[in-house]
Amino acid sequence: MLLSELIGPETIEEIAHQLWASLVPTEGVLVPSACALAHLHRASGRITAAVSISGSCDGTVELACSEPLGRAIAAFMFGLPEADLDEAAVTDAVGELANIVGGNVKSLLPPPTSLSIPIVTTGPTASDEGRTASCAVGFDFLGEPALVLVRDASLAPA
Amino acid sequence: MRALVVDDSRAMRALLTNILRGIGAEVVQATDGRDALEQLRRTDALPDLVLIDWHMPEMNGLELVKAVRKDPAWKPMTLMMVTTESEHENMVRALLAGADEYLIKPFTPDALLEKLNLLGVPVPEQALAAVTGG
Amino acid sequence: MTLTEREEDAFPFFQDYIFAKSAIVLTDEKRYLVETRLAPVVQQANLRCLGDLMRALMRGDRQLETAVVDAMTTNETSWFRDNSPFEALRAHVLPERITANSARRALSIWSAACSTGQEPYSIAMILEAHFPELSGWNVEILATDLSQSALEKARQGRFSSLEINRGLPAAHLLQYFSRDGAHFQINDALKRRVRFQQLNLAQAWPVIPPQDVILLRNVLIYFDAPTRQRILAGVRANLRPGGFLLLGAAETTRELVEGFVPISVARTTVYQLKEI
Repeated sequence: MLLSELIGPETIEEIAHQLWASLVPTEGVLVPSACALAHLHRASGRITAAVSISGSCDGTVELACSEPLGRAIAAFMFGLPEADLDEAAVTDAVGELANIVGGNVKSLLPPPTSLSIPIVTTGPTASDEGRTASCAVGFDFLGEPALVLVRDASLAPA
Repeated sequence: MRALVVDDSRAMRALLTNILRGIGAEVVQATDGRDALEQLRRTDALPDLVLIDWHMPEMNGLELVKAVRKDPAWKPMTLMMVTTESEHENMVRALLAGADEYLIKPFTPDALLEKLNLLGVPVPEQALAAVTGG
Repeated sequence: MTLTEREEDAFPFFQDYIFAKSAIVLTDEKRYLVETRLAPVVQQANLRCLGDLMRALMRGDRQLETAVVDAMTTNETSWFRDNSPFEALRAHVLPERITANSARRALSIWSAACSTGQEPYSIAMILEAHFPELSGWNVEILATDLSQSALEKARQGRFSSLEINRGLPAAHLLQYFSRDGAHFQINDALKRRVRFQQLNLAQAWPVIPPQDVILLRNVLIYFDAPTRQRILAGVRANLRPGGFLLLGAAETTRELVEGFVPISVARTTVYQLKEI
């Protein structure tokens, strides 16, 4: 069965809303954005965390966000000013978010399924990224872009 | 109150630690089940509360719960899973293995404090009022 | 005129408007609350600012009226909120009422500001888990709220994991809910135990059958003193002699109308209406 047949954009949106509501309980609203991918292309830095799912369905779930948004999330989780955060802290925070999204996706899949540890990369977006994904949901949070991508294994880049 | 936070994510450990320190708890951390077990064996000040992620390298959270519940000396410790793993069967497995409560990721800080209140872990009135006061 | 100036102008209007519709008092410090709660309404209606919303309400837009009242009155809620009142219900209040009503074999409980349903469903879980002797009784849980959208959600009984996390014991989650995509659905047996109905506590009440227990938690704090008095008098009139009133943790007894006896139980205070 394809991952994207079971996990649609509405589910991704729901999980992302809960994730953001939990991280920043009092300020900001996560707004679905069709332009998030384009904004990510333009962002000066970008962080992508991917977890792979294997078992009844195979594929990956990725969370990408601009560098400033990654730093804001890390600052909240570590309870530190952004200036005091090292790069590893930011990487770990975004990785944990991808892990939470992936874990929630996994809970909706027929067992058995397993989830990998997140792999976090920084750098620019591939230009065909939106097209190779089976499902892409973009968001805007506090003026910064974020993107959740679901890829079926057969479509994932080798 | 003393607490042990077991999670392989440094950011998640920090988040949980900050919330617990906010209610005056003394917090130590472990990066996975094996690290947690080693620390529990070494310490002479057992934690009252252990927060446990499920998916971790080396030893996962479920195995940690089973290992802790084998030792009668560790019975007083309250064990709470803090994980994305929210499939019915897996929650049942964790509770049957001896976990006392379950918090699903993502969670808000107030949800953690409300679960502690439920477990009879003392949460200062002020901290709870701040999160449940409306 | 800048956007900010417009919003500054709109706040007094919303203070008056909300008071007129719901008797909720919004002091000047609540400006942030009005702004954050109404921002989504402004956005959804494709308006630019609170000033636009104000003008639409002045023109008598009923749809926006409902949206505004809902946004301003939907409050924080959680399962077994504060825990101790529910412990008091289980250990003292319900056993006492069950004994008192053993001849009639009927029990009525009213959750008078039920929001999205967590409070009445928590009561239903207590009845289900701890009072098997009530099978065959006529048990009614009435749950009312001002907000139509909150009631709609309560009736659906479908909750996100963020909401489920708020105070619901894991064992209850496993017993009374099933998974529905990224949500959790409360089971039909519990749903059938609760009757939801719209009711504005600040206005004239419809006829309500006499109650054994009334929960009026974390709602009086939003009203001014005369409204509080009026609501408490209504509560007394709708409670059976010997029945119980449960208030929120922050709500004091100072303004309670006569006739109630405070009883300390399970680290909280419940109020029993004197038998005549």
